[in-house]
Amino acid sequence: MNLTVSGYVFNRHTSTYSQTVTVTNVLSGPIATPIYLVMGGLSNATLTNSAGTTVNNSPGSPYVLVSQTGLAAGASATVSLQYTATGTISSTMSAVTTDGQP
Amino acid sequence: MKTTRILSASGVALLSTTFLFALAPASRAADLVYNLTLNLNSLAINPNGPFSLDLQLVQGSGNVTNKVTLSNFVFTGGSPTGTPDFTSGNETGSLASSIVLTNTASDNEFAQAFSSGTTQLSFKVDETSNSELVGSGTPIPDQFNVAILDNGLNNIPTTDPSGGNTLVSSAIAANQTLASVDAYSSLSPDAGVTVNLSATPEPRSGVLGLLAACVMAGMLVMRRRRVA
Repeated sequence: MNLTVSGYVFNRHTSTYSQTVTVTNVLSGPIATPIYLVMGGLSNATLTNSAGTTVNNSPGSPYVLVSQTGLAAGASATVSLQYTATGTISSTMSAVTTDGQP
Repeated sequence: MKTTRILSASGVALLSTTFLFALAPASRAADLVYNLTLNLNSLAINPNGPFSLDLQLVQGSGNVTNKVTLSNFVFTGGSPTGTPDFTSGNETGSLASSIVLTNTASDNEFAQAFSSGTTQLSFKVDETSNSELVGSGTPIPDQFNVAILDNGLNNIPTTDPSGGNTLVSSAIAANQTLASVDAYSSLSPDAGVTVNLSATPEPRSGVLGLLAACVMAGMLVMRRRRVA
């Protein structure tokens, strides 16, 4: 899967950063299982719209649900990420497909 | 005959050098330059005014320097009012001339109100184009954002999928084009604001080099004719 990551928008009132990540299925066939975006090694920030923390992929990392039903070949889905930060936000983003706990 | 050969050889050498200069890559990525127009008719009698123009350059991974220069501000039917509502980070200039945002702070921002009669606001944008490709983790680009603030200095709601309520977002990267700049429209209770983006091509060093090569070629032909 391919990730297209935007820059941040800063909200002065809430001191939060927001961005979008678009996940594209570049495989020749569909993905039928749920897709999650995992923020491995997230530092200097808290992902405020996290759906939870991972158990099996970069354990302890926050994640968001990209698609409950997967993605057709060539299809994309975009998610919004919201952070509070204490410095330059850094993480290694990865898309994970699994029927179970990410 | 000998003179002609010498002139021909030196001309070819000169032309070759000029063409090599013309085709050589620039020392840095080309800037993205475009005109941005905000259509503000719908805000004319909106009780959430007065509204403000908000310009923001947010640092991404923080490993490269980018700069956004905003100039040629035109307020159709109105004008900027008072002094800036706020400034933040590395921001210089004013709406009367130009504003420069540099990404040395996490948030580099300028906001100033405009009068209620303003139906359209346009300006020129010049973004440097340095990609965030180095460092650890997923590279996050620097991003230039444009928003309209209401009288509480909150972004008016827009279709921006990030939830940041911008009207324009440009994730800065090398070789970016106008097509990569995202434009959105406003939503209720401030619906009706739309954006137009248009290219403003600038002469590149390569084009100037090719032009110089053509002039040199013409001069060479004329000189050879004189010698013959």
